[in-house]
Amino acid sequence: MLNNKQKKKGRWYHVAGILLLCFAIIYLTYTSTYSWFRDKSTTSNKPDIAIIGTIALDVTTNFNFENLALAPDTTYTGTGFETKVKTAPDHDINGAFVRIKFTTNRSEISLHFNNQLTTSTDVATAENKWFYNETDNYYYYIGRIYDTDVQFNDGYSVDNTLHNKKAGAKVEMSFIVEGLQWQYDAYLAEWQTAPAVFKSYAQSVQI
Amino acid sequence: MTKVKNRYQISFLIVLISVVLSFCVFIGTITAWLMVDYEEHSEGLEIGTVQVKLYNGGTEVQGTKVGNNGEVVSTHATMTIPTNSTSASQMLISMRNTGTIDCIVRVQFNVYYLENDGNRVTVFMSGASSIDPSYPAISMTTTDWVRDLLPGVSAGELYYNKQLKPYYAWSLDSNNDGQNETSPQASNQVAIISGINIGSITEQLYIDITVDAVAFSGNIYKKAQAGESVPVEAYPFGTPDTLPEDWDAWKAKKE
Repeated sequence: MLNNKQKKKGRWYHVAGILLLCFAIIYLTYTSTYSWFRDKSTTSNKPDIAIIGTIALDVTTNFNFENLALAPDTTYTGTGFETKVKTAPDHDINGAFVRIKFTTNRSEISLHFNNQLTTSTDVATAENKWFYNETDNYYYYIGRIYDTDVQFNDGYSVDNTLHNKKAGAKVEMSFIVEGLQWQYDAYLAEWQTAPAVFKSYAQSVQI
Repeated sequence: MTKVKNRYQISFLIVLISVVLSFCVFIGTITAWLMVDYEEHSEGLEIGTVQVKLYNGGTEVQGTKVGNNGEVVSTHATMTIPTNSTSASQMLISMRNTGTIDCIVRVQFNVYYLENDGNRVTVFMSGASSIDPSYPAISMTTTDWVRDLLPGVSAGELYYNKQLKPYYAWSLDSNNDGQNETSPQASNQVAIISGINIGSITEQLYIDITVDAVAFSGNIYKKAQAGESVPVEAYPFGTPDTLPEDWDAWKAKKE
């Protein structure tokens, strides 16, 4: 037989316990629901195997245009204009797949590549180069990124349609860089629009 | 007693559901693919500008007219030449590229006085072989300019034989980190006419100046030299065969 004091004490323990659990649920749901549902959409034939670790990239971009201004019909290359990517010190799994999307508000501007870009659909030829995929506007690296810099673009090109009527207009450029574990067919789930040459390469290195 | 028991059962049920849901979410977390996204944005970039401002002595000339047809940016002004300008360095007319990119520059000028009826009379330029040396004439000092004057008179065109760099320019800082200084550095003004000597002329003289500037990068003369087909009307300073042979600022960049 519980007396009123014990009942009251027991009620408070329950309320506190429920509140703590609710907090845990909300927190975990907030931080992981997206991953949870995304993971459910996998099309892999292999069983999902979790890798516990951290994927982190070290991305270097440069926009050091003289006077922060772009001149017409000019190619800007070299130090100050290149984009590079490698795994960061806190990356603790084996390598990563990387894809990059470049966007700009000016049609006169494009990326400049030295010989880092390929249009080859043959894996052996395309390996260790970037392949532009028109379907999703991403550049896919046909290879794996490790802790050594891999160059993306070596600069920018501005065409001759830029003239004084457009002078002073704001120029915006941005890179979206995405890294993904290369193991266990993660690319099939996450990068479904990837080009065939990337998928072929990715398939060839699966464990 | 039964009421208390039911309350404990409901609480137990809530705790159980919570534990199950938390477990599911936890499993979801550790079985997600490892992914990472980064976004890098440019900041403060703009399309380069060409803009020339005129200076008389150290003072910016006010009331200039500026035109921009998309290719050529023109700055026009009329200035009074001091009547005591009888030494070579008496009048200094200079310019600044207050834009952000290099340009090539041509100056059209005319030195004249006004007759009573308002007509302009262009004065002679000293040293012209076709003019009687006893006639009153002016002389001008110009450096780094290629002259293309009308025969014997102080009118015509001057072509600046260098690229005109922006007056305010960013430079890399001394940290060797590829970053710019925190503020742009000013460079020197470029003299157009570093001296006018009016000699024995007593009339009030005026000088009309129009500075035409075109972005150096992608200038049409380079494209023509590279063999590209260029329509005649596209040449900002006239077709190549009408330009002074000595003027080559439109070619490869030089400091």
